[in-house]
Amino acid sequence: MPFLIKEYALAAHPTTWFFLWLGALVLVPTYPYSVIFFFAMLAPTLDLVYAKQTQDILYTALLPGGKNGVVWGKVLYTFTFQTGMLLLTIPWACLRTLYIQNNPIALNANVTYFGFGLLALALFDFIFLTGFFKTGTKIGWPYFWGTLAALLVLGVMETLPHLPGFAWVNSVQPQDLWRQLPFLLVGLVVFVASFFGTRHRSLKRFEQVDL
Amino acid sequence: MTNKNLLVVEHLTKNYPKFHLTDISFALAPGTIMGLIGVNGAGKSTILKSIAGLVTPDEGTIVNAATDNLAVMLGETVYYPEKRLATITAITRRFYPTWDAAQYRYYLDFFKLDDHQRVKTLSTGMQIKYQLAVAMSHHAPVLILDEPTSGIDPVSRQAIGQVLQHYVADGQHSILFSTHITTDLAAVADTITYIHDGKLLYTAPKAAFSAHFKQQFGLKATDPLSFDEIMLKIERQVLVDAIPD
Repeated sequence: MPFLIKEYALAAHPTTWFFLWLGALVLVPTYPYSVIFFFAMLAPTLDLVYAKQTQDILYTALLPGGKNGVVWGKVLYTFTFQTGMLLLTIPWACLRTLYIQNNPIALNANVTYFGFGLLALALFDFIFLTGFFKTGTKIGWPYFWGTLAALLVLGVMETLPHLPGFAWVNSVQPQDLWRQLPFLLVGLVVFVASFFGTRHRSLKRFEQVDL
Repeated sequence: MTNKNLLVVEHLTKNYPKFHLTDISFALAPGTIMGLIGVNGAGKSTILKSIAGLVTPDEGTIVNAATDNLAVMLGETVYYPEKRLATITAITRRFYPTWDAAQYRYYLDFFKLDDHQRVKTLSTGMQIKYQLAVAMSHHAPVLILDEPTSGIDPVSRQAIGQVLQHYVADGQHSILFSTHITTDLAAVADTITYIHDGKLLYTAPKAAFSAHFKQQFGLKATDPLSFDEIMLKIERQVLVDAIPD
C-alpha cells in the first residue's frame, strides 16, 4: 500500500486527476466512446514520462523493496487508475442510456463496451508495462505496440454490431444487456489475469535492468 | 556479519561493454566513515549502486547489516522538483518503521531548511542537505553517499561533515561515501579506499593510507603528502606509463 500512495502522491502527473473523469465523455451525444479507453492508456504513459523527469524510478528503487517496489507501484497504479476511471464512467453511461438517444456514430456505452474496453486495457497494460520494464527507460515503442493491440480489439468492438445478426451487441435494451454479459465477464477475467501477468513479467524483466 | 562489520563487499565484479569493475572487496566497521576516492569514471558510483541494489553485479557478494533499512543518497540527483519537502517526507516516512520525527526535525533546524518549500526553489546545497536529513532520520545502520559534497560551498561542506561525524559517533552506524574532493577525506573519513580504473588500488585507515603512499613514492614518513598529491601522483604515473616510448 505505501507504494500505491507514493504513486498517487508523488509520481502521478497532475493531469491524472483530469483524465480520471474523462468517462463523462459518454454524455456527448455523438462521439466515438472508444477514445475514452485511449485516454485510459495515455494517462499512465504520461505518468511514466513524468516519472523519468522527476527521477521517481530511482527514488522508489532506493526505498525498502528496491526495484521490485518500482514495478509493484507502477502496475498497481496503472490498474487502479483504469479501474477507477471505468467505475466513474458507469454512472454517466447509465445517465446517457436513460435520458439521451443512441450514439449514431459508434458503439453505445453498454455492457459490450465495458467488456471490450477491459480487454483492450488488459492487452495494452501487459504489452506497455512489460515493454517498459525491459529497459526502465524506453516508453515510445511499448506504447505504440500496446496501443496497436488495443486498437485492434476496439476495432473488432466497433465492427461487430455491423455484422449480420449482431445488432444486439450495440443495444441498450435490458434483455440485450443480459446477452452482452459474457463480453464483460471475459473482459474482467482477462483484466485481472493481465494484472498478475504484467506484474510477474515486469518483475522478471526489471531485475535485469541496471539503473 | 563478518567481524560485526556493517557492510561487507567481497569480490564485486561488474562488466560493461567499455568498463570493467573487477574484484572489489572491503568491509565497513561500525562507527567509521569510509571515503571512496578515485577520478571520474573509476567505478565509485558502480560500487555504490551495486550496494544500493540499483546495479546487479556479475560476481561477488554484498552483505549489509540491515537490507530493509539502507540509506542511500545520490548527490546532484533532484527528485520531485515540483513537490514540497513536507510532502516527500510524509510519503517517504511510511516506508520506514524506524522513522524518527524528532531526528528529522533536528536536521531540518540544523540545516536551516523550511520543509514547506518546493524542491525546485532550493539551491543544490540545500537539496543535498534535505536528502541527508531524510537519509539520516530512519536510523539506517549504513549510510551510502555518492558525491555528497560535489558542487556545494565550503561552509555547507563543513556542516555536512559535522553531521556525518555525529551520525557515526554512537558506534552503531557507518558511512560509505564517494568523492573526488580530497579535502573532505581529510576532514571526515576514517578509512580511505582508492579505486582506479575499476580496481581497488588500496584500502586502509587514513594514517596508514598516507604512510603507504609515502613509502610508494619514496618519501620520508615526516614528509607532507596530501590526498590531492597522492591522487595526482597515482593518476599521472598511470598516464606516463601509458605513453609509448
